Parts: sequence; structure tokens; C-alpha cells
Amino acid sequence: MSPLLEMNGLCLASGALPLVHGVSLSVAQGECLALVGESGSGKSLTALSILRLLPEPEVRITAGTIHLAGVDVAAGTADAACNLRGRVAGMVFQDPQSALHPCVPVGQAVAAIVRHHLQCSNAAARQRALELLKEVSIDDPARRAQQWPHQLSGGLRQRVALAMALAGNSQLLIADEPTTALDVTVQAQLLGLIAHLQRERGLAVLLISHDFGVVAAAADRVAVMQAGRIVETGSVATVLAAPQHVYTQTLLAAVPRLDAAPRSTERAQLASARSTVLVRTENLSVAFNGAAPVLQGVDLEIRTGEALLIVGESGSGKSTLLRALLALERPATGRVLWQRGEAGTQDPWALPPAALRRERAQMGMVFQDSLAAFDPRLPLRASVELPLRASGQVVDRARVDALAREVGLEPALLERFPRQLSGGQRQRVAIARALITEPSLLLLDEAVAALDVSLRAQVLTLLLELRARRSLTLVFVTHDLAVARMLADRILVMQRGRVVEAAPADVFFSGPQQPYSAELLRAVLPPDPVRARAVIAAAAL
Amino acid sequence: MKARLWLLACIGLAALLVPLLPLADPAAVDLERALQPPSAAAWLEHGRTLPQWHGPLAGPCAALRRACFGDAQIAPLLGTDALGRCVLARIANGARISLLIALVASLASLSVGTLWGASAGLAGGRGDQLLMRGADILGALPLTFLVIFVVALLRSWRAENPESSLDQTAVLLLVTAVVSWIPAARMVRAEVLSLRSAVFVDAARLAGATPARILRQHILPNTAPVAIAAWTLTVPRILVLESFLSFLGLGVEAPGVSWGLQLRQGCDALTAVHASWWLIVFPGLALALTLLLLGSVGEALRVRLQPGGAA
Repeated sequence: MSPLLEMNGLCLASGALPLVHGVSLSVAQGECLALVGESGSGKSLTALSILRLLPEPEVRITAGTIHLAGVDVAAGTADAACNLRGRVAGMVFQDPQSALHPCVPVGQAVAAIVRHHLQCSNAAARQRALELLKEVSIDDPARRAQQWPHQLSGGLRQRVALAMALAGNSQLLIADEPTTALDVTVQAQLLGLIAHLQRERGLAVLLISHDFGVVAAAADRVAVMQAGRIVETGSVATVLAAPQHVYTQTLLAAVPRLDAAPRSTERAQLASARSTVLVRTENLSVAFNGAAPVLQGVDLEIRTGEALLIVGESGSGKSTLLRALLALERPATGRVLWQRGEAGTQDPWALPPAALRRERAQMGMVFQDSLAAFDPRLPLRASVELPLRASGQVVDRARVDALAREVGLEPALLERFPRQLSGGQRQRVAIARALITEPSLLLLDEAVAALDVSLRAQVLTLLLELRARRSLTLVFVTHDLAVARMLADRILVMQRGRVVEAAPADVFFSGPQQPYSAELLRAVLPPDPVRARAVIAAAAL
Repeated sequence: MKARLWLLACIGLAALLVPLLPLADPAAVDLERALQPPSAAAWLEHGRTLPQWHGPLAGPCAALRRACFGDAQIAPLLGTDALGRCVLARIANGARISLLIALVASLASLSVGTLWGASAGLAGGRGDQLLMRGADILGALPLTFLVIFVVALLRSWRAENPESSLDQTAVLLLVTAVVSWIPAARMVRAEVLSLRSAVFVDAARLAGATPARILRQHILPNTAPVAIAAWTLTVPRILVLESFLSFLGLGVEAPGVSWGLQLRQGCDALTAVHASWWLIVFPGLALALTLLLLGSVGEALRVRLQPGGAA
């Protein structure tokens, strides 16, 4: 029997620019093939071309065949492929929020697709929709079906999107980064669900991901893409354990691991310097416009020289805590205290504006979205020099250039505009800007979350180097425990605006005290098929 | 896009250079050739009186024109009106007044609107409420009627004080500017509000930048695309408002020329037996073409000015 999807020598081009060069792959019934690669490698375009969802005519198929259930999709028109969408193959995207119609109750949305594909009565379609919602493990489907997308959590929304993709009895599921926007615990559950559907329905799955943990947990076979080509294909166990191609090897080497040995020597050196408190909070709470507080009763001390990692799921108040530490958010109750040399500790909100500005120059901040963090109309050099100009210091071109080199940037890149740099380069500029006033404290908000694995590893290594060289105090917010493992001296776990656990890193990773921390740690997917599958099996229980 | 921009530039340039061009006097009455239809029989004619201009540059302009073209002037290719005046010359002279009012009034309204909107956006809270509710109240008035009312009042005041030097064109300019700044203020305010909470503004605050520096370096330059978008929407609106008022006889007055006034006079010349279509069609075309060009060039400009847009 021929495989459900067979792609041969697919080439895609935008105008004269080739994007994908001769990709061949196949997915059989009941099998999960993972397409792995960094952003811009062409994996999403390849997936979109299967259902002819490409932004044609800007991006066209220039050569190759795509046989989906015996029909050559590439040869026909895009309209002809419309009959296959939802019937033979369904798709799930990264962002479940924008994939669902905001003004239609989710049960109706699923039923509409059922009715379209199966041509049945309204009542039968509603009945079938409830069955589908039950099949994707939504509790109490009758109640959930009445709800609107904004009333559901991210995980539930993605389940609804999955039900919609399956509503026309499709045999192939194309999932483009389906868990990237979800929290780790939810991610494990959703991957478990996909594996379950694969077994029960004989569903074929094409999974697009940049995360080797996800791949290890879900895939049977892996195809690694680089710059529009598949460089390596094989079973998940072989590729992850013994990668053949250099590119796969570098990618895998760059994956931060929970079981990696911490850098004990540097930590020991720095431990002695850990004495004075730089920033302290007392019973800090923050609330926006009278809504429920985002932060509640946070007590915390940041000492010189330490690396404090704040971890937690989205919405747990991590970023708000950082902003409150920098006096960008005014506390509702409690207070933030900054250490000011001789003057002792002081509440930044009680400082006169000029003094507040001077004190802030002692803190550097790196934001999550490196594009939003720079004024689009200014060349990057102007943004990097701004902290110097603002504090009335002389702007020394050589010093800025030296700093750019220190963070691994060609100084010439500073003459460009933010949009002209890649995400990794921009994040380095952001780090340079944060360090230009030689602050003692560097705060980073999910500073590597938007970066590809290899870039992420580079930036993290850079941070470790800078920290050792400049004896920086780091406060790093992340949702990724593997990143935390690499950097942390101390870990702070947050849940719903509260600190649930604060412990030295070694203690935390060898056995956290709180059940929530343990749950977080258990849900991390290692890039190892056997253990990743065990995580998923445990989450499904 | 290029072609449209060039065409618009040509219209603007022609309006600017009217005193130098070999055009007939737009006010020269010649009842012997009243209501001549358009004809291309003769391109040039000689020996007619040249138009008189006033102002500091009038002398050099007249000399330059005489040096280039002698006493030649373009024949009434687009026909003549009921008083035998050349329609082509009147369209060209009308463009001067119409475009001048549109340009000056829109720039004035843009500065008021930007200032008002930016202050509201920056003040935030109660100040914002106060400023924007004020704009809402003004916006809720039926503006066209307000303008008609004000112009009528001024006119009666002028009739009682004939020695006053208040020019009706100046009045028109002022009134249209005053009533057309509200959309600009709303757009700029929204932009300033979103910029105020932009991540890069936070970054600047953390860098120790003073509010004045943030305003100068980050907020104002980034509102420029929105301000320009607001401006490109305002120019055609004022152009239409001016034509409309002149058509009603409340705008530019008889010895002057504007497109709206020409349309009015064209309508007056319409009789059951004599349909002098050229009196309406050509000024109307000039107005429509300019409006279309302004609209599409404004849109293209706005897209181009967006950082990372089509540029």
C-alpha cells in the first residue's frame, strides 16, 4: 500500500528566489513524521503546500509532485485542492486564539465543519461535534460547546482546533508548532492526545517543530530541514541518539538539557561575593485598574553576584514582577527597595525624578521582543548610545564598538535599523544597550524565548561569559527550565502571582519541595524518545 | 504611483506658475465672444490685454512673461463663459485659490490637531478626557451649517463696515481650518497612547531618558506617519468644502476665481435652450482629478512612511 502522503522533489519559489529545493518525504497511515528545523528553513511552507495553502502566486510550486491519498495536489489548481482540505488532511496552527472564530461558540464552529463535510442534518452535526470534543478529551463537552473561544484556556482552544481539523474525518493531521504557544504541562497533555488519536484512528501526523523535546515525545520518524533542503531523515531514536549530518549534530548539541552538569567552578567563585542585597521587595502586590492582583505578597531579595531565575507558566506574573522591580509598575501594596550605596535602601517611588533616572542607569534590562524594544525609526547605534546621552555622559564611539564586539556583533551592524537584523543579532544589540552604562544588575525577560536553538545557546553562553567577566547580578525570567538549569544559582517558582518556591538551583533540580514545582519539572520534555514518551504517558494519566 | 505623483506635481506647479504662463486674463470680459464652445482652431492669439497682477513679484513676473512669450496668449481652447472669459485661464487661476486654501487650511488644522491629540495622549487620564470630550462636542456640531452661519454673519458685518479689510478668502481659510482638525487629533492621540506604552519607550525610560527627550526622540517622530495620513485625508476634504461653499456663494467672491465658483457660474449659465456643458465639465474634471490624485498619492505616501512598510 502506498503511503498516505508522498512528496517528491518539491521546489517552491517566491518570484525568482528559490525557497525550498527538492524536498521528498512520505507519511504512512498511523505514523508521525516530524519536520524539524530553525525558523526560515522552509518547513512551514512545505507543510502549507500539501493543501495548497501557500500565499500563491507570491510563492509558487515550481517542480515536484505531492500525492495526497493518490491525488497529485501539485499538478492541479489550488481550488481543486480545496476538496481535500478537512476531508483528507486537516491542519492545526501554532496560535489557537487566532485559529478560532471569536464570535462563534466552539461547539457550533465544529458542527459547521461537520455539516459541510458530511452533509448531515443540524442535529446530527451537533451530536457529532459533541463526540469530537469528547474525543479530544474535553471534559463536559456539552457545556464547553456553548462557550466562546475567549472563555477557554490555550490548551482547550488547541483541542477545539484539533477537533475542527478532524471533523471531516481527515486521515492526515498537519500540525504546525501546535504546542509552542502552550505551557509545558499543557504541552505534554496535548502531545499525549495526538499520540492517542494516532493509535485509535490510525491518524497520520506531520508535525512541524523546532523543539527536539516535542519531536522526541511525538514522532516516529524525523526529517531535519536546513535552508530549504532535507539534510537528514531517519527514525527518531537514531537521529536523536546518533545524528549523521553536521547540522543535526550542532542543533542537538545546542539544546539546553536538564541533566547537564551545572558550571560549579564559576558558581563557587561568585558565591563568596554574594553578600549585600541589591534589590528587595516587601509584601509586593501589583494590580491593574482594580482587577484581580497580578502579583500578590511577593517577598524577595536579590544579592550581588547571584543569578536568580524566575520560572513559571504564562500569566503567573513573572514579567510584572520584573517591571515592578524596575519601578515601571507602581505597587498596589508593599514596596520595592533599591540599595543605594551609602544612602542605604530606598523606595524608588519616593525618589525625585532626577535621582530615579540616575539609579535606573545602574540596572540594565533586556526585553523578550527584541523588535519592539527598539525604536523602528532610529539606527541601532542611536538606541545603544541613548543611555549614555540620557545620563549626560560623553559618547565614546570606540567604547560602543568595543562593547558590540564583546557581545559578538560586528560594529558596522549598529548603523542599520532594527528590522534589518536577525532576531539573534537584535537580542545581542539589546544586551549591549543594557550593558553600556556598566550596570551591576542585568534583568532579562524571556530574552531567548523567541530565538532558535543554536542562537539561544549562543546568547546563553554569552550571558555566562559576561557574567563571569563583569561580575554581573542576573535576574532572568523564563518558562524554560532547561535554560534555568544552565544559568541559575537560585530559582524562584511563580504561580498565579505568588512565589510558591524559592530554592538554590542544585536543591531545586535534585528535588523540589512544592508539588507545583515538581509538576513543572516533570513536564519538561528531554530530547530523548524513551524518556520524553514516559513524560507524556505520565501526563495523560 | 510615480505617474500619479508627477501628474499631481504638474497640477501644483501649473497653479504656482500661472503668472508666468501665456494665459488670458481670467477677468477680461469680452461680450462679443461669450459662450464660445471649446475649439482647437487657433492655439495662440495676439494683441489682447495681458492680465494684471499685484504683489511684490508682479513686476518681474510680467517682465519674464513678456520676454518669453511676447504678447502671445493661449486661445480659449476650452471655450468661454457667459462674459466671454477664457475657461482654461479661469481653471488655472481657480486652482491657485482652491489649492492654496486646501493646503494652508489643512496645514493649520494639522498643527492644531497634532498638538491637541498629542497633548491628550500624553496627559492621559483626566486631561485626556477633558481634551477629547471637547473635541467630541465640536465634532457633534453640524459643521457645514456652522460654517455657513459664520460666513453669513461675517458678510453682514462687512456690509455694515465697508472699510474693513477682512478678505472673504481669509475668512474661508480660517473657518475651514478650525472645523477640520478633529479627525487628525483623534488619530494622533490614539497613536501617542499606544506609543506611550511601547516597549522601546520603556527601554528609554529605563535608560534614564527625561520625558522631554522621550517625547522629542521617540514619540513625535513615530507619530509622523499618522500625522501625514491625517493630513492627506484633510486636504481633499477641505478642497471639497471650499468648492461647496464657493458654489453656494459663501466662499470665494466674484472678482476672484475658484473651481467651486466656476461651477456655480456654469450652472447659472445653463438654460433650456443653451446647454454650455464646457462651463461645468472642465472645472468639474479638474476638481475630480485633483481629488483622486490626492487620495491615492496620500495613501501611497502613508504606506511608504511606515517603518518597514513597502519601502
